[in-house]
Amino acid sequence: MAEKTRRFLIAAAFALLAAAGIAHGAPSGKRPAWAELSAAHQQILAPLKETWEQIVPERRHNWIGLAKRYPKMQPKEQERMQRRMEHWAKLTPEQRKQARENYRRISKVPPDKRGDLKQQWSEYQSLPPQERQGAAPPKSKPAPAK
Amino acid sequence: MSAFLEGAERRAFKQAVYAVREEQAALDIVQDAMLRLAEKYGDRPAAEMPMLFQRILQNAIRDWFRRQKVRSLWVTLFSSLLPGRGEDDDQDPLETLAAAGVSNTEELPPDRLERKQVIEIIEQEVSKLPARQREAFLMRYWEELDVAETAQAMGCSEGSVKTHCSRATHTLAAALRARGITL
Amino acid sequence: MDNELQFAHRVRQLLSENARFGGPVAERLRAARNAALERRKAEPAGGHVVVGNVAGRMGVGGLSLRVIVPVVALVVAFAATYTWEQKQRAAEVEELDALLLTSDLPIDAYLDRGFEAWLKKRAAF
Repeated sequence: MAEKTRRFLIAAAFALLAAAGIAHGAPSGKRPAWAELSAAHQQILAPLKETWEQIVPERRHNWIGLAKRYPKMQPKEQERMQRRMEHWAKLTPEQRKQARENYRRISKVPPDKRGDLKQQWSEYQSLPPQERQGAAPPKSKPAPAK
Repeated sequence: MSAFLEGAERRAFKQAVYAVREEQAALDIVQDAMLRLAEKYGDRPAAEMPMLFQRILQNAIRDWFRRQKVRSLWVTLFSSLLPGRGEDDDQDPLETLAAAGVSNTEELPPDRLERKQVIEIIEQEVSKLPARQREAFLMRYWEELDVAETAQAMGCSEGSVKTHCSRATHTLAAALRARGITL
Repeated sequence: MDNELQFAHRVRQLLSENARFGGPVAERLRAARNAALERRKAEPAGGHVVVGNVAGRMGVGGLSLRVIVPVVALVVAFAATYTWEQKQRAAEVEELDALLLTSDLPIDAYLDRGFEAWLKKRAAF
């Protein structure tokens, strides 16, 4: 019986490993090299050309997905995206996660209440650093108790 | 598997003959059983082959009887519908008499029996055994399967195998004794 | 019991004598055997059968196959679900990235820890 169980566990472990391999390998199995990209995608993703080889496969697929959306964007949006690419690519995964989280929260604020975001941003930037930091949520920097 | 079948096919044929008492049908049955074994169990280890082949063979024999039953049902239906059935009835007693005459000549005193005749009589008596008893007896003592394998091939308990075997032995021994043969 | 065995042994000998025949019947049996062997399932080869053999030798052939097949099926289903979820997540991230990269606000606005809270506080008034 112990032998049976052992056999079973070995078989199950192998199967799991195989499954993990499939699951993990499927989305990021291929790591498209820069040369493998289509000419159109190379043109869209041009700002990333120099750093492409340092980008992990998963992110490369993400970029290719963005390149596919690119033709459907407004010219203004296209220009913005290309301008921001390099910066975005250089962020750490945590920073990107944080930014996405913030984007989600900000977009939840009703437009009539948040006003013009650009204007708000420049107003916020003009605040003295102390006040800006005070606005940060307590978990990152607890607000001084008064 | 090739070697196994080569060694087992003649005995299988004989087993089928004992059961269905017809060479052509027995050949068909063995052929069918071989095909089934090859198609379904061609990759099984050699040690399992004898048991599997026996199981398939016995199933094939049962299938044959089932088909016979259906066929004879049709024959009965047709013959009951057709006129002139009385003629057949008239012929039957003659054949029965002739057959009885043949079997009478076989019952000779033991010392005058040739070895070949003894074998034939044994075959006849084996053929007359109840099907399950014959199956168990032949698998155990001719095919040399053990009790567990026989039970597996017959789809019954080991206890039943032992019972079938011992009944078959007694029936057979008694029948042979009645015909003047003691082994 | 000994008598029974002895008797059975004699019967076997005699029956076997009659089972050593040649002729057309033997010929037909041989042909049937060859036909069967031709239709035989693939010869034992490759990993699949090795598993079967090992299991067979362990005496758990039936069980292990009965266990392994559902386990493999389960694992494949798990892998498929996982892959599908990964893809969904990747698509969501992509969608968000597209919005973020083309947003009115610069990336820095979203990286700033205070801006979002400040904005909400203002919106509340």
